[in-house]
Amino acid sequence: MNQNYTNSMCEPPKRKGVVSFKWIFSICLMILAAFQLQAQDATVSGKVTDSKTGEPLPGSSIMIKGTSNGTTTNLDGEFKLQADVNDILIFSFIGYENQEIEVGNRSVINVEMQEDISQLGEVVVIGYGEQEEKDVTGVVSTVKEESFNRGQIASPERLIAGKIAGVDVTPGNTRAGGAGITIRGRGSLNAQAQPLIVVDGVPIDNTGSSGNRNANNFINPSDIESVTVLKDASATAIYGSRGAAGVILYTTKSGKIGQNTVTYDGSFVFSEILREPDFLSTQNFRNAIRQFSPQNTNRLGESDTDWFNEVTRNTLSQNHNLSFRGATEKINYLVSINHMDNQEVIKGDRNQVTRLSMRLKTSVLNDYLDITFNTKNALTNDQYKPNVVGTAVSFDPTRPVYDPEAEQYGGYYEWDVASIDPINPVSTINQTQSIGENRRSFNAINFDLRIPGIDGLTLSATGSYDLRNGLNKVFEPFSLRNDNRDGYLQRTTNNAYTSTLFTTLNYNKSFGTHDIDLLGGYEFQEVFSETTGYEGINLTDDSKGFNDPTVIPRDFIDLYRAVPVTNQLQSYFGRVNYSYDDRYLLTLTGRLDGSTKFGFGNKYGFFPSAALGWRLIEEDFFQRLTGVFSDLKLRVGWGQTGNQSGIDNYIYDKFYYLSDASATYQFGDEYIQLLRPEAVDPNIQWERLISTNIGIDFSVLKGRLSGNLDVYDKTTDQLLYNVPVAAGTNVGDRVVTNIGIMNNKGIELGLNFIAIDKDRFSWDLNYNFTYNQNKIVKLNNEINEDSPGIQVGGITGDIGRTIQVLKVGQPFSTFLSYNHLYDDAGNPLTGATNSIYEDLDGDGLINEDDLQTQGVAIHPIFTNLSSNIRYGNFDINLTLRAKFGGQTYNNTASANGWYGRLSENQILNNVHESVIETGFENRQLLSDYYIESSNFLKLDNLTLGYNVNQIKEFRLRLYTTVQNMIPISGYSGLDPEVEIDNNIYPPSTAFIFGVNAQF
Amino acid sequence: MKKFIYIVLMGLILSCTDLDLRPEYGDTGNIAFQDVNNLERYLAKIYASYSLTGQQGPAGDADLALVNDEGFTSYIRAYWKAQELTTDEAVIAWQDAGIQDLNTHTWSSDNQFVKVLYYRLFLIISYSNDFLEQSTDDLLAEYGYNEEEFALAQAYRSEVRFLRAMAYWHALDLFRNIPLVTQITADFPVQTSPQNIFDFIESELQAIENELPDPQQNEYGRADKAAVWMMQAKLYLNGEVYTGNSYYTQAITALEKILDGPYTIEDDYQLNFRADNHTSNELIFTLPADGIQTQSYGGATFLINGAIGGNMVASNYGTSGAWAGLRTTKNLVQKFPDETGDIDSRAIFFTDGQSLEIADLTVFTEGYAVPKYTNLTTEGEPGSNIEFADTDYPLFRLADVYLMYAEAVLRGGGGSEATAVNLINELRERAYGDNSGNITIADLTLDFILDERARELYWEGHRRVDLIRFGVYTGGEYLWPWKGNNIDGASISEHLEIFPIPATDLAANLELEQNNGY
Repeated sequence: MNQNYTNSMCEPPKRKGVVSFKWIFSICLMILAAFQLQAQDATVSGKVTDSKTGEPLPGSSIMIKGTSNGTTTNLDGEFKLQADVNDILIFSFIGYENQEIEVGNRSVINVEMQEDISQLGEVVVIGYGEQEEKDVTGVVSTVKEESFNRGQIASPERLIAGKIAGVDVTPGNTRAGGAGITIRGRGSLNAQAQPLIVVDGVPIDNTGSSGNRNANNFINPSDIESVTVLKDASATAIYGSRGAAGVILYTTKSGKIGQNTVTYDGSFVFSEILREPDFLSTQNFRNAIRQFSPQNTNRLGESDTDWFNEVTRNTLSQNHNLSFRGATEKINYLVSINHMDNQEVIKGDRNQVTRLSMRLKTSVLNDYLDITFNTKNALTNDQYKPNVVGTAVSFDPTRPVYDPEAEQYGGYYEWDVASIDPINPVSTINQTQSIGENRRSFNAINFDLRIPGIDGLTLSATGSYDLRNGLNKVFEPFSLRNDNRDGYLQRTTNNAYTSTLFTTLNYNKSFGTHDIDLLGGYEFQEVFSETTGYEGINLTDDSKGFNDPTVIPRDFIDLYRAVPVTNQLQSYFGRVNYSYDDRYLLTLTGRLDGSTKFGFGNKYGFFPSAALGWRLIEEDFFQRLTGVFSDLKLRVGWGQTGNQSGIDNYIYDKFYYLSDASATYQFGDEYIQLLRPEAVDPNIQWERLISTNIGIDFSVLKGRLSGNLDVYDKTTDQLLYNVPVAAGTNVGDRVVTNIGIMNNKGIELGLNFIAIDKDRFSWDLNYNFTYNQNKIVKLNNEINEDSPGIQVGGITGDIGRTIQVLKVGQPFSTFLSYNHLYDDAGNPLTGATNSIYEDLDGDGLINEDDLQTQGVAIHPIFTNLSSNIRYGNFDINLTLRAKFGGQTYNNTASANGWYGRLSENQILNNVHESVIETGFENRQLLSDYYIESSNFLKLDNLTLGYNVNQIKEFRLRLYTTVQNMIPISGYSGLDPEVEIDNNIYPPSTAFIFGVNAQF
Repeated sequence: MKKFIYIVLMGLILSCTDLDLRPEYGDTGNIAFQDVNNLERYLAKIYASYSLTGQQGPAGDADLALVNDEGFTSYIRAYWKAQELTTDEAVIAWQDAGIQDLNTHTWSSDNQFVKVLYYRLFLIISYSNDFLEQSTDDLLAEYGYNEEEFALAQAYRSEVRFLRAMAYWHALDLFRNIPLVTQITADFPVQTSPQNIFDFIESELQAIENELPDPQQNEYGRADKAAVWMMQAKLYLNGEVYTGNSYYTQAITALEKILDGPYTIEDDYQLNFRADNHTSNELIFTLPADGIQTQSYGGATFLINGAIGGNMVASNYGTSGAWAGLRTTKNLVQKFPDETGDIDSRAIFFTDGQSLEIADLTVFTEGYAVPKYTNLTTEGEPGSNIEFADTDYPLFRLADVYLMYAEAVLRGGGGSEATAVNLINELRERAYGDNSGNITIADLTLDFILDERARELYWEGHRRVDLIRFGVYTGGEYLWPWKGNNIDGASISEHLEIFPIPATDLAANLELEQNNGY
């Protein structure tokens, strides 16, 4: 480590490994001509330590003032340097105050560095690099390990739910599933517009492979050191066409020099459903039949079955994590092994993941070259049963689960009236096998070469290969009642990879008061995916499970064509960061992205951004306020990004595809396969997001209260959507094309407060608030708010019904319903459709013309509070999330809460308890009665921990967590956070007991 | 070290690409149509677009995306609903959004069944226009077709023009004020007068009349001269409705050409509606179905399964599905001398557990069921698959020709009244089993024709057009249960004779104007 290259670089190399530098030297020489060579008279050495702890500070920088010459300290904090007696040495280390010391006659200079409390001088990760937080001009938020959510965390996005203003992470109700992430409101009509995920600098493919319910669960959350979210376009534009939905950067842990540690974290998780769907009890059901469907009284059975209980359970899950990390001078490593066995509350539903990861960094060639190898591997076994909740809650509770005489149904009770009768849900989950096996291997190798001779110039190259293999198997035996098929099996394999190569050249240098940081780069990414397999019905033999396709009769087999699809992305990008006098900051970025998803002339898009920062705190006129402020920065940013996710391949040209063998047409004695053109828009382009942000970062009370306030305006132009074409203008009724404009305006506030900061007692609070207003400005070439819009949001209860609309002037996720009329007592009217809804157009009829927009499913306001308290050996952490201003459509109630449902289709069905209040005879699917306000407060997690042992060599912490308590909400259903509540996965509460040991 | 940097630089250069990837299956037209078989497959697609719904059977990879349930998007299913549910011949029990509005004449421009009709027709028109653009003489030369292939391509082109003309005829009939689009263009299509559309169809049919094979000389399922004549006859017979001008003479001319053809009335009326109806010599043009190779939820599968419910046993009709939807009103039943079919055997009603009156449209057991179509062969065996019928949809049938002839004669198109009476008596002798139901010239009136058309052709997708042509579809002169959303029937406005342009297309195409009254 005790290199002194600035002074020796033009001398003959002393070590063998440097011989091959010859060619660089010739360049160096020319550049060096521009630098003044100085006399170096004396050798100065010394040691840099922390003034508080006395521990050495390896990697501290020592520079000779006014030059670019300097060195860094070694592992023991020691340095050696050639310097002149008149030189002034500047000692610096991140997080500490700089010190300037004149060399004089001393040959040994030992320095004690003072921690810099006011300096927020943290380094944050940004696109293709990192930056000191004080220099950041974009909207960048980082959550570090100590602030992560606790509890059972299956995948890394759940670590930051509720931690960052403007970032809405919706965990969902299965613990193994992927969480939805929306950053600063919905910017696209496309459901797949998720943020770009970047793992240790490498953008990854977020789509996963088939049969895996969570694409990101190959990353072990315990490996994550910090999560950084890039929110505005000035920060994300460097990712160009993939940046529109925001960017999430995961940084995994690395070893610390001198600390070789082994960490074990294990926990047991008890999950329990604390609230069940509201359906009639068996006794009430009998009464209801007698009262409202007396002609069916004779159809009542003898049993008393709680079907919901029959298909759900309390579960015990477990999670074990073992990691090794540490570093020597040359090698820095993290190795971790993780096993999670997650049992969900629906019987038989289970997700097992084993994850292996390693991050290894080594320095070679006299430390000029850093090589990092990063591998993350996961084996997932996902057993997921068909969602039987809907069937279970409405199954006739007077029927038994088992019927010993029904041998043809495997001993399960079954209706045997008509083919559309529901199948016994217990039979479904016990007899259906549905298994997804996934293997994912993400490997990246990164080279960072500091070009000798040109201080601050770094050439980086990263190559990654992300391999995904998914196998999906489904099997139904003969004994599972299904009138449409006698036995079923399916087996599909998906093979996919993403290979990425990017190289960057970075030049980072200070010239007096001018700091510049230049970046240029090239990136190439190829994504390949191929699915093959077979599916068949009416088997000849059901004893062979899902492995043998020969049991499918020829006419009933569906062979999946091997459908290989490839897409490529090629990009050139650059960035300029300039800072003058630590006060005035400028960032310019540009990226040229080319994609195979678009046709000629549209393949390339350019995405620029610009941002300015003003560190008011450094201004003289502001100094008198420094008693109040310890930091204050203004930021203004503008940028453009794109979005290409969810766009199919090859949809820019009219391709002709052949039909399956089951769709042929008779010409004489022959059956001809059908050749169909695909409707395409040859001029299809990226969605383009233009965003502006004005923000302020501040810190008061000597850094104890810090925060940021941002206002933003994001407009997505050229919205892509599958829209109706003008009839007769294309070979389809819909085409994916650029059709509209959507706008999001919002305000975000984030606050960090260190309430108490004592040795034995500390209390940190983090609060954030977000208001986001979404509006569709233009749709389908129209800006007319009276145009009918596009109906979306399919619901159950009937075929082809929808409850939401995309409409000019309205937010995304707006509901569309009839206005239910109420009697004087406030009860909704019952009776014929024409008399119970408001006839808006007064034509005496209730039809589509009387539907009205009614509320919005996505809450415009969300706000979160986290608290971390440490008192002695105890610690308490919690995360609260709340959302306001949204509605939920209670489809569980609307599809099941009507008396006619009791005896629909000549069998008996249980009904939703809401019918007792409404008295509806018929289903009122489109009534606004079911659109309920869904403001809520959720306690996502509450953890109590106790540090048993605080010895340096061995730390032991015991903890218990309650995760996902019942929400506080006026909404009558189970989860106010869903848009359309349709027999959702039952929310459960987890009680976790864990131990964390480190030695 | 040097090597490393070279590798990086090489990697940079090598990986630069022109970003031009093509799918590994599927081709652009200029490659696909070098194989004349692909032209045939495209022709098959256009035929299939009248009955099937997508590229997978029975459903999957749908052609139309704007209606959620793919099964609804079968053209012939939607056409049948439009022609029958809006009349005295049929009602449906289901409550899918907008379907009851067909029973009660309360549809709006958002009605999804109206959308299917409209978008299907324009999809067929677009496929046809694209087909014709992909098979111009210049392109065929570019594809390198030999003489035989060139002749095949020309034959396919004529059939495509037939199929496009049929789509225009239906669009004219259902929506009346429509654009005339003959090539794929991004420009918004503009509506033209019904007369222009009429003239276009007429000229297209004239142009291809001599190009198509003689009657029964094309492969089964494909159009021949008789299909062209039949469409001409239908266009001319209804020409007065469409344009205000009468074309009855031209109708007679076209009908006489069919009468001179090889078609005969089968002894067995029901042979036209069962699994082996492709053997019927009475059918002129059908939309073929096959339980295994041509599956869909439209066509006869819908007509068979949809008509079974209540006390009916599905297997008695060669099927497994009882969808409990379709019945008829008392008006149709009462047109027969006897509901049992003992006198007029065309009265095929299922009455056990069914009431004649319909108090509630959504209850299957109200209104008689009509098992006219079955998936049974003449031997009484079920078709190849009990889930999807083999029964072909009988689009053009000789009995219809007989009745049209008689009507055109009465409407002054020329021809012979004596021939007309003979033709009708041929149908009635089959129905009665003897000449006890025969009529005389004195009985031959337009009112008789309208009722006889109901008796002979009910549930075959003609009724709405017939009632309109006879002037009794709208207004209060002729009522049936639930006409005008009234249990006893009520007068309805004249604007309902045509359907509204779907609101979605008015939004997508700013040039369009809504039909009057909507």
